[in-house]
Amino acid sequence: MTSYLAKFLRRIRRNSIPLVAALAIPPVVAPGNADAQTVLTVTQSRDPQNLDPIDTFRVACSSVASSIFDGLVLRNEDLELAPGLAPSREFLDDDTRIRFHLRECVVFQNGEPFNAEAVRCKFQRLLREVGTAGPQRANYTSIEAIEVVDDYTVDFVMNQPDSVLITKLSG
Amino acid sequence: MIVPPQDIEEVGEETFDMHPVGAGPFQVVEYTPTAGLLLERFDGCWSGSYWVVGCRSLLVFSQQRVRCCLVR
Repeated sequence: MTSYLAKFLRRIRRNSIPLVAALAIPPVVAPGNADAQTVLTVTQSRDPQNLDPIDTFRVACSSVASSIFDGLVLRNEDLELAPGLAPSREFLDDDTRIRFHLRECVVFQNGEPFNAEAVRCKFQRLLREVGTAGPQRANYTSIEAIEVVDDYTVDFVMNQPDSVLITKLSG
Repeated sequence: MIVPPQDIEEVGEETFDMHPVGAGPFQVVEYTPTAGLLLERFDGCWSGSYWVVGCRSLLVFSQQRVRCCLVR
């Protein structure tokens, strides 16, 4: 089966589609909503090469990753910290324990539920063997362990207070 | 950025690198390194604030030739 991307690129190389037509190409999605046919075409100077957020630090990846993934904390349009998948947090035990209260009823794009276990697995993956191959791990070594309190509460147990951890979590 | 643990377990690290799953507003339909990336809106996303973008799909290109063709 010829992919949508391959067909699109072939037509561009043949110079057969000007910009306006390129934006109007029927996408692979089924029509239904009023904006179902709308395709926003974005160009950037570098290709991400790898879309897994723990494998890379590249701007080329994070520019698209912020559309695919959400973090516990986000930054809003004014660059202020804003609630993400964790709407609130508490600093306990002299800042050596950060308790995140997680948003309920969030699902991943494959239907898998988002919960404290997903958060624990993500940081375990980052701090253990998979993460050691990438550049992100060094930013999170102040985390000693991730403890699941209940389905929607998770504790970051720190080996030392980390005043910029929340900033780092916001991507 | 939180990722789904069961999915990574099932598809493996290499597949996840090219076709990852998140909880954000757009999901990966197709990615071919250096060729391009096609994302489609994820209607089940917890946050409605992104829908002001008003588009169904995002196409991301980085090849110089393609970029030049698109802005001509």
